[in-house]
Parts: sequence; C-alpha cells; structure tokens
Amino acid sequence: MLEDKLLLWRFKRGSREAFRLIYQKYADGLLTLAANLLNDKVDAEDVVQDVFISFVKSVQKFHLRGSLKGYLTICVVNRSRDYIRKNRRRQALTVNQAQRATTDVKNPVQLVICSEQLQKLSRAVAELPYEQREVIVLRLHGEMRFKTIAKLKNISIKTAQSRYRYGLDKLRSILKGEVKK
Amino acid sequence: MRPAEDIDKLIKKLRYKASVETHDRVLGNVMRALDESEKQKTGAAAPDIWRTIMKSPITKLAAAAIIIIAVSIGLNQIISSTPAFAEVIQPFLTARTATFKVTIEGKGFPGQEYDGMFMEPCRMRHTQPGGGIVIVDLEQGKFVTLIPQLKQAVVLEMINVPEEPGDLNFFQEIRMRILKAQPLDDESVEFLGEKKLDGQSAIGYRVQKPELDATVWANSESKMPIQIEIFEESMTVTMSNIVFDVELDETLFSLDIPKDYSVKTLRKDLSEPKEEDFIESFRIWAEHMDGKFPSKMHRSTVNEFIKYQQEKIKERGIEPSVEDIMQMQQTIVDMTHGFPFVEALTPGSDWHYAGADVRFGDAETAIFWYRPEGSITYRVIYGDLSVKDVSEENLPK
Repeated sequence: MLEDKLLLWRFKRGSREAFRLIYQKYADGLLTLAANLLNDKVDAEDVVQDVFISFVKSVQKFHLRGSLKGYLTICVVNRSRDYIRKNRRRQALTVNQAQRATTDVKNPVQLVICSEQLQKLSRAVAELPYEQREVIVLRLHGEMRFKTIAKLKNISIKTAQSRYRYGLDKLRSILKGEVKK
Repeated sequence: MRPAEDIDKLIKKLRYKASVETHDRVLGNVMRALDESEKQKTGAAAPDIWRTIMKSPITKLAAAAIIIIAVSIGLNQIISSTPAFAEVIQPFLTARTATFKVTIEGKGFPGQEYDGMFMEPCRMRHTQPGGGIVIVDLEQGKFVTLIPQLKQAVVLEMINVPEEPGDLNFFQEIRMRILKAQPLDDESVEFLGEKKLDGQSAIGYRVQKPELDATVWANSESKMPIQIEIFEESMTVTMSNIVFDVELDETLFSLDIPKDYSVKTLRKDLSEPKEEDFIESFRIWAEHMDGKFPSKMHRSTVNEFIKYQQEKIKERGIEPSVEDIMQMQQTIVDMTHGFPFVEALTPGSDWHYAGADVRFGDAETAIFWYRPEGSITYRVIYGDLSVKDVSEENLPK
C-alpha cells in the first residue's frame, strides 16, 4: 500500500519513527504467523526479530516491488522453515506435539486462547505435517492466494490447494477423534 | 467442536497477541541492531581515510593541512551545490493535507481548471467549473459529485478498488509517480536554475523518467514546491498555488449528501481489466461512435468520445434529460473500464493498434493484436470483435 511506501521512504531517510510504525503495523500478524508455523512462542519471537533485524540492516538496498506485508510474510515463512531445518529438535517436538501441547507453557496459542475449543484446535494444527500446516497458515493468517503460495513454495496451485484441503480434512478427523475420546 | 466447515474460521482465531513487554524487547533489539549496523558503516569508512593519511610519507603537519583542505573542499561543495531534489519533493510525500489549483491542457479538448484539496489518507475534494463539487474517498470506495444549483448528487460507487488507485486522486497519483520514480538523485534530474514564478523566487528541476516526466518549481528559500507540471503524451497537467499542511475541516470531505438533494448512482469497476473487458470497451465505443473505433490507443482518447457525444446532443437540438446524462455517464464509465488493459501489457507483448480506419463488424481486418505473456502465438482482435490465436508469421502486415 502507498502508506507503506511512504513509511519505507521515510525510514530510508533516517526516520526511526517510520520504522516503529511499520513494526507496530505488522508485528502482531507476523508473530501469529510464526507462532502457528513453529508452534512455539519464543521461537516465533526470535524469527520475527531476526526478520526485522535483517530488514533494517538491508533497507538502503531494498526496493519494494509488491506489498511490504507480503514481503515480510515471505521472510517469516522462509526463516521459520530455516529455523525448523536447523533445529532438529524441532522435528522431534513436532512429532510429539499432542502430548507436549498439553503441558508446554510455551505453546503460543495456549497463552492467548482461553477457549478450550480453540486450544484443541491449536493442538490439532500442531499435529499436521509441516507442508499442510504451512499452506493453511499462509492462506488463513497470511491471507495469501493459492497462486502466491504455489509460487512461494515452488509447487503447483493444485498441490497448494490439495495440501490445504487435506490439512483441513485431517484437522477434522483429529478433532473428531478427540471428541470420541 | 463446531461443524467441520467452520474450521477455517476457527483457525483464523488462533492469533498471537504479544505483550507490551515482548514488543518493547523485540523492538529494542531491532533498534540496537540498527545502531550497530550504522556504527559499523561509518566506523568502517572513517579509519580507512585516517589510516591512509597517516601512513602516507608526509608529516603530520602536512596531513593536517590536507584535512583542512579536504574540509574546505567539502564546505565549498555544500555551499555551491543545488538543494537536493529529494528534499524539494519531500512535502508531496509527507503532507497530511494540501490545497492547490489543477490545470489540464492538451490537444483536441477544452482546457480544464479546478481548485483541489487533499487530505490523508486518500481523500480529495475539488470544485468543477459551474459550481459542482467532487469528493473522492478511496477508502470508502466512493466518488460523490454535488450539483448545488440542481440540488442533485451523483454517487459513483467503486468496486474492486486496487491498493493504488491513483487515477481518481490527482495528489495521490503524483505521490505514486514520485515513489515509483525513485531514486531521484541521479542524472535523470536536471537543475533548471532560478526564476520568478507568481511573484516568488523559485528554483526548478526537470525530471525525465518513464514513471515521472515533470518540472517542479519550489520557493528558493523555503524549498517548498509551488508548482509541478506533469507531461503526458498529449496533455500537460499543472498543479499550482500549492500549500501543504493547511488546516482543513474534515467535513469538507464528508460523503454525506444533503437531505434535499436527489441522488443518482453510477457504478465503476476498478478491477484489473481482462481481454474480454477490453473487447467490451471497443464494443461500447463503436456502438456510440457510429461504427468507428478509437483513432489511437491512449488514455486521452476518451476526450474524443466525449466530444463526439456532446456534438451529437447539440445536433439533436433538444436539451438532454437528467436520465440521458446519467445514462451517458454510465456508458463512459463502462467504456473506460477495459481500455487500461493495454497499459498493463508488458513491452514483450508487442501490442499493435490498427483500428483507426476499420469499421465495426469488419471480420477480415484486425484492429488490435498482442502476445500474452509466455505465449508463442498472438491474440488478434478483428473489427467484428472476434478473437483468434495467430502465429507471428500470419500477423497482419
């Protein structure tokens, strides 16, 4: 949006206030995105902080082609994936998420969601394979089109749509199972 | 759990709202990283210069002399240099409000002049010749024209408003062009020197970039812009008497219509036009222009259409009814939706327009062709508005 271009323009010319406004505008959305991707509040903060740090360091060379929100979203997605790759323990945790989520106070969603219903859903999302979770999170929290997700992940639009659909189906079955218990 | 189809809505509720402390911590860390980065940049350059001077085979006294000369040269450069263009145009980007006069002149249509006001984020108000008042609020997606003499309001409801709808807000359009033309500290900007403009001493700049072809004049003391001329292919738009950040009452931009006004509504689709919209524009044009197509493919060609309709009304010798005028306005709005399709085509599309002398219905003669991105064949539109895929060697000569 034009407002972002103005903020960026001001920031490039040394306005710290402009950067604060950019941060205030997008930080919560990016934290939500990272927290849902990583299923960890502290890691999400680290990722978002890293994204903003590399953004401010490279801002002078930065030329905004699309939207700033889209750019920052892609940075968070890429860095979250790197974070998981580099941190093998993350994978182990992902496997055991269901058990972990019941006790782990770092779970991002537990901290902010009082509703039991949403907590169940949060645990179910955490159980999804990363590829499916990623598409769901990008679509619903990143507000990205399937076309954009497909381009970002270098997959076909159909694959992106399938991952989304399978992910939601799986969530439904996880939640049904939980209800049966 | 709710029915399965609500899952996506529920997932959207899985939001993470960080505490104030978290934000303070993250923002603080980012700011510290920025400080470090800036220190490193300046720190990395300064010792090198110093070391170079101190390592040279001259005495420290000579080194000091060199530093003094270097500083003097720097000062001279600052004193003799012209004010940076970026500084001069900055108010266009940072102003919260502005008032100005706009003059549009060009070949083939009468000049237009109006007084305008701008207020952030995307509001504009201007007066029309004859007393009409136009208020545009792009956030609300509305464009209201009030005609006090007739106690009538025309509401243009915009759908599919894009993120940067500059066309409907002249001030916003200038902002966008300046931003798109960045950087503006290169050889594309020429300093024009000083002259008297409207009784003020003004300094001028000429910018020639694809995104912005303009002359900007600013008060030579305050460096505030007082006039900008934008050159289009067949018209010049001048914004003068510019005053930035004046106190403006929000009610001036209100979209509320006085109770005693009658209201007519038009609709404008601002979505990105597709090929079928482009063809529909040709159809509307030809049907209202006695079977002719536009003389050329350019934004200003709409004036050709309007002029022709005005002449037809004159020829009839009957005063058009309000309904007739509204119908014509809606036709113009619909007709102009598809033509910007051409502006979105990339240079690689190799588009050609050849419809100037073709009659509507001529199935043999092509009026327009282009190559869609990634395609090896061309899309060719004929005078009967049929479309065919044609290989390059079979294109019209």
